Amino acid sequence: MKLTLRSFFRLPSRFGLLAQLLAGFAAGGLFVTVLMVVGNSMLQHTSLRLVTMLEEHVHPLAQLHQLQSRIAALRNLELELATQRDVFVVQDHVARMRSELSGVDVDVHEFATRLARRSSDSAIRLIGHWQEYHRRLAQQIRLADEMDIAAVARVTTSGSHLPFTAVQELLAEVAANTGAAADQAYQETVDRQGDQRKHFLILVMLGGAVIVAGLAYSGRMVVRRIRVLHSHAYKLAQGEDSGVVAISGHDEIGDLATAFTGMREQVLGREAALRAARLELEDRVEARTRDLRQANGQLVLFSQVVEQNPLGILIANIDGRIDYANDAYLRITGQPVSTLLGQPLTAAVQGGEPVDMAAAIAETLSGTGAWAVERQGRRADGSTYWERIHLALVHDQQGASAHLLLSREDISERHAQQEKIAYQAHYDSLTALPNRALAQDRLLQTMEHCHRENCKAAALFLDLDNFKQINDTLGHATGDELLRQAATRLKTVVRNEDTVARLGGDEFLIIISDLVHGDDVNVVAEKIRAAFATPFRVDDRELVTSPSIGIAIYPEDGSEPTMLLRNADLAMYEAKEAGRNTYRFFSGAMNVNALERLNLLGQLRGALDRGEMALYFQPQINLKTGRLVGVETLIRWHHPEMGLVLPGRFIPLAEESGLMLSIGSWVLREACRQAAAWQRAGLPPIVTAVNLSTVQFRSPDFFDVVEGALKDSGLDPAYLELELTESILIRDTEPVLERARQLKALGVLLSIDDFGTGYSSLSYLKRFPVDKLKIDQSFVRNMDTDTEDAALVHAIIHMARSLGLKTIAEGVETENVLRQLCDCHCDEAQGYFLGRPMPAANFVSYQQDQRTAAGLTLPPSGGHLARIA
Amino acid sequence: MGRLRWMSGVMVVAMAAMTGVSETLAGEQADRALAAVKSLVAAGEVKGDAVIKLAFKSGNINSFLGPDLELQKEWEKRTGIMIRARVIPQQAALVNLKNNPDIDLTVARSNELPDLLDQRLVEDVVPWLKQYGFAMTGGLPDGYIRPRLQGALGDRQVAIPSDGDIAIFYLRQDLLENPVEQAAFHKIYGRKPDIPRTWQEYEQLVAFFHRPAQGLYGVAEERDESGGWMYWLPRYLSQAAPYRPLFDEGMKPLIDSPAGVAATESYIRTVRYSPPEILADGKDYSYVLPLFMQGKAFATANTIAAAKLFNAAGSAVRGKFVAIPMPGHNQGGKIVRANVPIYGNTLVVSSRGAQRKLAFLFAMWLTDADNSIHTVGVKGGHTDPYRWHHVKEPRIEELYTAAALKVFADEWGVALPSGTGVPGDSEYLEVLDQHLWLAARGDLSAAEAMHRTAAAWEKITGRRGRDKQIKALHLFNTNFTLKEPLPGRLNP
Repeated sequence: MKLTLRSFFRLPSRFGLLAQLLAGFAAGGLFVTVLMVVGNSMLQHTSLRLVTMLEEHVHPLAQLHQLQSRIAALRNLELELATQRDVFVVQDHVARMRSELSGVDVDVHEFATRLARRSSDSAIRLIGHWQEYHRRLAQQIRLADEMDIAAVARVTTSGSHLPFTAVQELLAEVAANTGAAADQAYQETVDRQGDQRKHFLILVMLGGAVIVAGLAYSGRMVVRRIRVLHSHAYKLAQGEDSGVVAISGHDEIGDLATAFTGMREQVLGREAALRAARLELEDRVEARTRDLRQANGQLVLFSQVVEQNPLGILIANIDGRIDYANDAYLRITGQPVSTLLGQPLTAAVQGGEPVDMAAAIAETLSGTGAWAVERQGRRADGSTYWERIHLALVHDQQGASAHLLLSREDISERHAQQEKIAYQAHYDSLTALPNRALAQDRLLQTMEHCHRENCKAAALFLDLDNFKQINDTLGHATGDELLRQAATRLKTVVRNEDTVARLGGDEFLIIISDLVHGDDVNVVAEKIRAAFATPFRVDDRELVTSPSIGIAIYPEDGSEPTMLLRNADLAMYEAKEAGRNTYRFFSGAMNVNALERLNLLGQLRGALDRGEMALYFQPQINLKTGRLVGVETLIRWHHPEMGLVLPGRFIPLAEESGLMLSIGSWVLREACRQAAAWQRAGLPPIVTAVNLSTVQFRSPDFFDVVEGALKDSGLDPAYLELELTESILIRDTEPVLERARQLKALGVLLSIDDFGTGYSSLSYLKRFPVDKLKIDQSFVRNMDTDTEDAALVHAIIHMARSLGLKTIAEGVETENVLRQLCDCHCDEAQGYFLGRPMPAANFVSYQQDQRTAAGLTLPPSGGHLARIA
Repeated sequence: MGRLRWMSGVMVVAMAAMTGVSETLAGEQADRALAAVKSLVAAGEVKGDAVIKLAFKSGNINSFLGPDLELQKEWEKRTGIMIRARVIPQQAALVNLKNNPDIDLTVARSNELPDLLDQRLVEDVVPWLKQYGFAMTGGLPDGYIRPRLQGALGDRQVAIPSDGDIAIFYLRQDLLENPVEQAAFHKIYGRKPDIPRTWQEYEQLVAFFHRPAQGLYGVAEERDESGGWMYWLPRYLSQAAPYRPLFDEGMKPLIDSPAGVAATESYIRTVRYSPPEILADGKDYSYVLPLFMQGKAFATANTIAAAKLFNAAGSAVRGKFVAIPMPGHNQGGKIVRANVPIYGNTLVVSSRGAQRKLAFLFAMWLTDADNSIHTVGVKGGHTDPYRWHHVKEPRIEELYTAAALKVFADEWGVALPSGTGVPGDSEYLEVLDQHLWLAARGDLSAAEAMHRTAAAWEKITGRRGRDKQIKALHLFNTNFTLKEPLPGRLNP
């Protein structure tokens, strides 16, 4: 059986909360009463001890100190008396002294009486000392009464000092003893009080602990059950079933738990029924809400689609009366909505190209489908635009025709775009001339026209001479401007009905129709040449170009536009071959030449692999020493069938076909290899010059090619000279400059080939790290007969010297020329007079001859040059 | 306090019956002063936290404020007005007042008053006396002793009596009454040695009892360099009836005359019967009085305070001395006597004090007939009787002896104004003291001393302005004609 407080104390089975509370208060009050009784007892005891200590120690000590003070004051009066001089003052002083002495005497005896209780010996000694001091003072008073101040002073200094000191010392001793006793008593009191306080605190803590434990127990019993009830009630309020309330007790809380349990069962039953009903209702509401939300969403969506639709939308009833127009309709057509509502649909499309709206409505209503049209509309303000009108039938949910939907879309931008595309497809954007496609169409139309009219037509294929050089040298912007001006000039020399088209690059096509004779086109060709006679002016620069024109005649030179164009092209090449700035009519032989060029190109593609290419070396002589200082590397193509093919034939083909990079790299590697081989063979080291093409120099891996050639051959870079053309240096200045600096850093020499033939200024000479200028042979060759050429050569040499550059003259073919070059201090020279290009094998013997003969003997001006080799 | 008030009442009735004049009832003056203070505070004329600043010479505080300052405590309790008392040096009141401008109330000797008034350092209290209904006529039975003589100049009352000091001569009564001595004296002078009536008789007694070999000097009068004038002036003033003035109407000194020479010769004749050090510097009353007290001198002079000393327990002459009336000169068969206040203190209200009216009221409260009993003749006090009823107070008689007090009271009947009475009094008297001392030393003849003194006085007068001095002198001379109440038996 579980033992509880209630059973232990045999308490009644039902012990209500009020009874528990009263019992708790009673216990607490009883405890506080006990504390007060005990505390009061302690305080009384402490107070009694303090009173005892006060009477036994403190009061005697205070009296002692007072006595000491009074005796000391008496001593002061005594000392002062001896210093007084005024008789009346002495009299007064003695009176005070006498009075004070009497009072102190009483105090001393009273104190001695009390002292005797504790220390009779001290009391006897005190009385003895005091009586001696009292006697001395009385003696002084008597002497003062007699006005014998001198005697008073004597007593003060010799007679009273010792007894006074004895009294004070004794009092000090007593004071010390009394103080010590007081301290001891005080300490005992404090200790006793501390013990009492400790016991009291223990009692308080024990009692407090009992009360706290009781309160905690009661509180826990009440609070715990109330919390359980609260938890159940809370869960019940939240709709949860927390189960049966497990609360015991025979008090009000127990009753409450029982009642709560009954209430819970009722609540749970009702709640289950309500929950089921609510769930059903919520399902219905949710479904209905979902339908409405969906319908409403669609409605809003459709409404917004219509209202915000970029298309102008009109909705009319089945009778064709307008019910609605959106904002875009106003924006597109300029027609206010207010003027449209209620109006017939046919009125809405008035303005602009006429539309049979009534028929469209009838067609739509007949169910044949939607009706649409694109037209140029006109707004109320007179502005026009392109629009697409679309009419459709709207059915209701039952499928019956309900409304007519007219939409109008502004397609002006799209229409313009289409026109622009069409224009760009047929016209050249740079010159605004018909492009190749339109030209071919025009040519076809012209040919068809002439076929119908039995007349002739001519196709003039025109190419600008030197345009590529201008474009490479001065840039695309300059080239484009030159093309625009050339197109303008071309249009001025033909009739309006004739066509001037640009086929691409610097190629133009001019179509002349309605010719009676093919030769009639000569006039046009001449006009064209004449039109180009005047230099073009681009960016304050005068540019000279000329037309090379190939002419093909319909129907003799071709019945198809393609053939006619190709033949005109071939004729244009003939004009080029003929020296440019001229025109040629197509002939059958031209066709043969074209085939030959194609064949040559095919052969060139495998020439390197077949080992048909070879290097020739032309000597370069120092004009001061007459010694061989270098060679220029030249390429030769030995074709097994065509024989020796000169560079002038295959180099343009190589450049046009992209073979130039591989050929150039081969030349560079082979030249380095050969030069290194000569040096290894013991020949004196000389500089090997290699020509570079523009394509080759611009190649991204060109530096690696040079570095690889040097590394592979082992040739010292100082013996490799790269010959650049002016066109290389002038274009893309910074990248070219950087490339040139890299090459210089590698240690190779740089020279400018064909110097003097370029277009650009000489300012780049100051910026580029070139070592040598190679004067073009066109100036050198005739300088002994042409004073202008001679002057130019002189100027170039002078300029080069002032810039610290070496000069080499090429094309030296006569002694006179050589002499002039020596006279004007040209550094080096090359040419047939000094040595023809020769294979590597021949060059070895040439160089050996040079060594044997110690070079050329260069005579002074006017002398003869002895040619050894 | 109740007992004192009852006794005073008895005295008042007795004195009133005797004289028919009553100044105030004892204690009334104090009550009037307290009422006045309260009215001042109530009117806002004086703040409740006001402080009265007092200045007393060394050893005088208890004399004025009572044992244990009981009167100060009583005043502060009654009025709420605090008192701050301090000690000032033993020097002229003129110097003290100049050096301490914050003082409200202090003490001055009667002969110093002309200088204080001249320099406007003290207040005339007559307006305040009238305002608050105080009387200062010196009436019986308990009025001030000759208040105008002690504190007035003309119509102005500039001081309030608070210490009645007048010159008193003392003789050895036991020797006078000794039959052997009487016989011996009679043998020489043909008469019995008795209380001297003239200076000649006084000098004969002194000469007779001068026996230095026996340790007895004829006389122990002060003859040091300062203060000689106090014992010379009675000798001079009595040279003519009713008195011999120091200056004529034009401030011309009258001392360079037979009267002056006679007075001086009388003054210096006692030197030969004095102790050898009598002329030494600093040998003042503290030198001479113990000699008399120890029985080493036949005669001496001081104030009534000396009687208290001689009557003390340790005195060798207790019961053996007698105070005598001031000797005089026989002028045509009539003895002309003259006495002057010396040493005595009067209360003066500083004109520069912040609480002048309060100081005046305090002085009146302090010197009230009832309150003054607490300060006169008490242990540790210097204050001598200054009201008529003091001389009848048994406790005071016990201290001073009734005989001495009787002589003291009578002497006020022949008292004349003290000092020169003109501004520069201390300067005049200092010159006189120096020449008297030189004459006493024998360095100058009496005639020469007077001649030189007169000449010096003339210079002082000239320097200070004769007209001004004459004006002050005329004012002072009115004090010689005062008719103030005296005890009936002595009233002329």
